[in-house]
Amino acid sequence: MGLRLWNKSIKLAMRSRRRFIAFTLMYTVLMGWMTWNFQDFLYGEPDVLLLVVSIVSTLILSILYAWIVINYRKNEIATLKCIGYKNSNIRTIIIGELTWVTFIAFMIMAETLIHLTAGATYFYQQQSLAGKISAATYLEKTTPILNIWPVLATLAMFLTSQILGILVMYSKILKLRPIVALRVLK
Amino acid sequence: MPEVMIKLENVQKEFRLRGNIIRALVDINLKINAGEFVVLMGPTGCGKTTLLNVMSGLDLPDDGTVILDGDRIDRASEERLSDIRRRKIGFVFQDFNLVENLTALENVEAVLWPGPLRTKEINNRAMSALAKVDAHERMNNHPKELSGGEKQRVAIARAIIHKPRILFADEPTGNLHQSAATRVMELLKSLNKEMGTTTIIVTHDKNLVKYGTRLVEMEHGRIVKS
Repeated sequence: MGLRLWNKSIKLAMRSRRRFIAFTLMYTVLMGWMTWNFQDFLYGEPDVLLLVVSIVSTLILSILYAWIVINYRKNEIATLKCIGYKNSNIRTIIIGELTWVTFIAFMIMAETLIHLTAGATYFYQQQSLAGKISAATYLEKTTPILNIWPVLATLAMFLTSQILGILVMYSKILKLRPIVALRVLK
Repeated sequence: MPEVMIKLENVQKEFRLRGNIIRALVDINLKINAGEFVVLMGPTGCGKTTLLNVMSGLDLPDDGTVILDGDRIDRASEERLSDIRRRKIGFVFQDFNLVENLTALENVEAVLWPGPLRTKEINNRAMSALAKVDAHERMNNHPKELSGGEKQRVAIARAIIHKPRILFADEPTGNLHQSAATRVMELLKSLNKEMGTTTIIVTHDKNLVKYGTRLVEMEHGRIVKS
């Protein structure tokens, strides 16, 4: 039952095309930026301010997304409550959409960074083989361009911020009585 | 003795509007038997929609008792009301309230998604409900591709898929032209006869009285004829 609702929530998310594409792109860019900040923080020259700014941006974006989803789907949620959906059912549908967008954005970001890393490594390798840069420079430039830990830290940070967004959103779902929302319709 | 489906005793409901207290329901006492087709009529602002909302558990009364098919709902929690709505009640709204991102078939199926039925069974039931209201040919269309009458027929299919004991309809023909309105009312009437579903419709259209087995008239928050 929960799995079915989860599946339907993904379908609903994909059909809200504009919202889905806009937030997936924003999440992807923010995730990429945060990964580089974590990379610098853990392995390079740490810039704490940039890292904090990216974390705060993620939190704000997650809450904004949850808020938009609830407000945009107020009528839909009210209708679902009228036909017998419990708060927990609606929570499943909303969480499904939020986590799906996070997952897709993460996959795009990870795929992009892997290709960038591979491309850069190939470039420096060619430069090294052609004798344009020294072996020491090649090693310095490519070891490592990107580690796994910054990527995982970014994912953890995004999932945590989603939990915060979901908490904000859930209190709104609880407050939304079907009759109140149906009055909004009229 | 006929089975009592809905019983209201001394029901009161007030609203505050710009500092004024409006008595929407005043000492309402009403019994509706199983299988009845009740037309609830009255001028705009007389409290008929409030009464429907209170009877269906969408709103709670300030005072009094509401019993729906043996369940006391006037002080029930939101979770309990959700459960009663899912098992016993079907709603038809003036604005149809279909989910825009779902097809007609999915809108009907959505009622049963949180339940224990298998997906195939849900699909079969939805198709059968759509066939019953003669909307099965538009099952893959989204609401924006349907006419007002078609939307309302899909909404009726959604309201009956779980075989409710009671069907509430708030101005079901309010947004429809004459021929579509007639078709919707004939459909509600035939479902009432065929399935024995207790049906309560709210309207201000006097032409709809003929479809009911009982007329309840309201004025200034009171029942003046039942």
